[in-house]
Amino acid sequence: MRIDVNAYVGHWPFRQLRGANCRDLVTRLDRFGIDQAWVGNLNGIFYKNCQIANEELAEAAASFPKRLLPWATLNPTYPDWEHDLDVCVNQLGTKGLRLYPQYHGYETGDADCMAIVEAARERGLPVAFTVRMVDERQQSWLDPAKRLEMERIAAVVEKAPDAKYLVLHAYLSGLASEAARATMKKADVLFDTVYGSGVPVGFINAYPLKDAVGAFGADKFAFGTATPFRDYESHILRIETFKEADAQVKAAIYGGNAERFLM
Amino acid sequence: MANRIGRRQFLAVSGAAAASASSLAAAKPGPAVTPPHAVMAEALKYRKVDSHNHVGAGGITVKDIIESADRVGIERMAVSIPRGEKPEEFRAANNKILDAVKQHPDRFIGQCFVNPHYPREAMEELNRCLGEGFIGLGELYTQAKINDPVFFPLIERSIEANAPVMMHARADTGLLRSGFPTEAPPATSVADDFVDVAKRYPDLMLIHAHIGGGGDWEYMCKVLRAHPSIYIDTGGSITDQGMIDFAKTTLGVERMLFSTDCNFETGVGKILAADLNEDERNRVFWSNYNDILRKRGLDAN
Repeated sequence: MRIDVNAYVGHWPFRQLRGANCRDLVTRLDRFGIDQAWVGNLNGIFYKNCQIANEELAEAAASFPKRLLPWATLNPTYPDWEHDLDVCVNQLGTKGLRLYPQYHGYETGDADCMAIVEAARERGLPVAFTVRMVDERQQSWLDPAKRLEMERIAAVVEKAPDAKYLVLHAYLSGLASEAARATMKKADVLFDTVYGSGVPVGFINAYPLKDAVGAFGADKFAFGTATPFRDYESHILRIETFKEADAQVKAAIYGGNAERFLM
Repeated sequence: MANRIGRRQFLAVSGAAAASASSLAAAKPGPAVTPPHAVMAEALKYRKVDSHNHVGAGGITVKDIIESADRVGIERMAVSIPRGEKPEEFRAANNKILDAVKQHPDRFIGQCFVNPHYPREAMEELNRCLGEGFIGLGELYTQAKINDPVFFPLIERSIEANAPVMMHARADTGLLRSGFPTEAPPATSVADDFVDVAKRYPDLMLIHAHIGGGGDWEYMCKVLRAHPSIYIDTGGSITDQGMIDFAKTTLGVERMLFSTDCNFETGVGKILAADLNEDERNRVFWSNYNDILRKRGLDAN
């Protein structure tokens, strides 16, 4: 089974995204032989009341059960988020929670952040943090977000080590300190492969998967594309060129690790 | 309520934008279903000459870059080391490139880096590199903007030698608008600077590096649109869906040169993902840059 753990639908205000809806996403999955995508609704970043975006996504994804797993977006500084979280879990079929402190006006690790992380853990939901939505060099003058440093995500994990975490647009080179790396190694964390590279040469925005798997273990990585921001082919090639990985490791990255993560 | 229903319908089933995307998908070559192994096979199907890459600095070894290129089917790479402020430093960088070319003449094509603030030494170095069979200047970096007059004698020599000039470029918001941060030095060239040079030297083969190298690629393409002597290379780490298509519709396929700039999978993947037919893929991957090589008396074949 192949799973794309980093997919989006919805509107991005700074650039046209093509096919940013559930039907076109499933068409894309079909085309590339991908069985399932974990989907967030971009509208949840921009609506003040994120829950409306979660309702939109649940309704839209319901036409594609097992193909599209909806991940809710909530803001712990906005009223009644705990009730919304219960609705997501009990009525909307939410499989995980995407948090965007860089857009929603709180700090990773502050009381609001830790409250919602803890609430997700209690309900058995994994939590996703996204390092950045776009490369800072191309960020619109209207986009307020700063990069969410990997070390700060590790600090949240350190504070709530029993929760499950998905790191999207994972920037492994940002985990500089040995303490942060040790925290991530111990925790139930998945890193997407949006910045992973199968070839020996690493560069800006491309860490060699060989080194990353060596450092963290093959069970920590899951295929992700950031579709429809990015093209699909490049992200498949990141895995296909990873010749040091045997069939078992590739299968784990393409889907096995993600399947286990949601059990 | 009406708005909410509309938004939900938008998320579930596309509107005009998605219809447009569907038509683009339908126009793509290749089989309707391209599972991962088929994407790899597609990547290896095309001959490729990489117009912008690096070796010998930043931990990038000859062995690793050849192995990386082999994994995505790149035959030839134009390479440089854009480092070295003083003449002895840029000469040493070019010597490393020369060594790599001599070791692997079937894989590497040299590009000559200089600091134009040393006019006499830079000209001597350009002439030395041209004599050694380098294609031309590149990747010129942030010592001066490409429209700085310190470059003019080097540009004039390049025109005389039928040699292209390839310059690093970015379009960070912080370079284009005051009040926004950027890590790019102030002398980093932006697309507007290339236009100045193209107007002054319409016969120059001027290459704007990596539209995926960071920054606003829509800005880059729109600024360069009306100046057909400027090529763009497709390299850089950014692999935004639609970027190559926008370059095609704005600039035309004939002005697009394949490159990776050390980003191998995304370098190839973004071309495969674009709305290019077989002929256009071959032109971008191979013949557009080979035509430039041939004008210099070289040939990737």
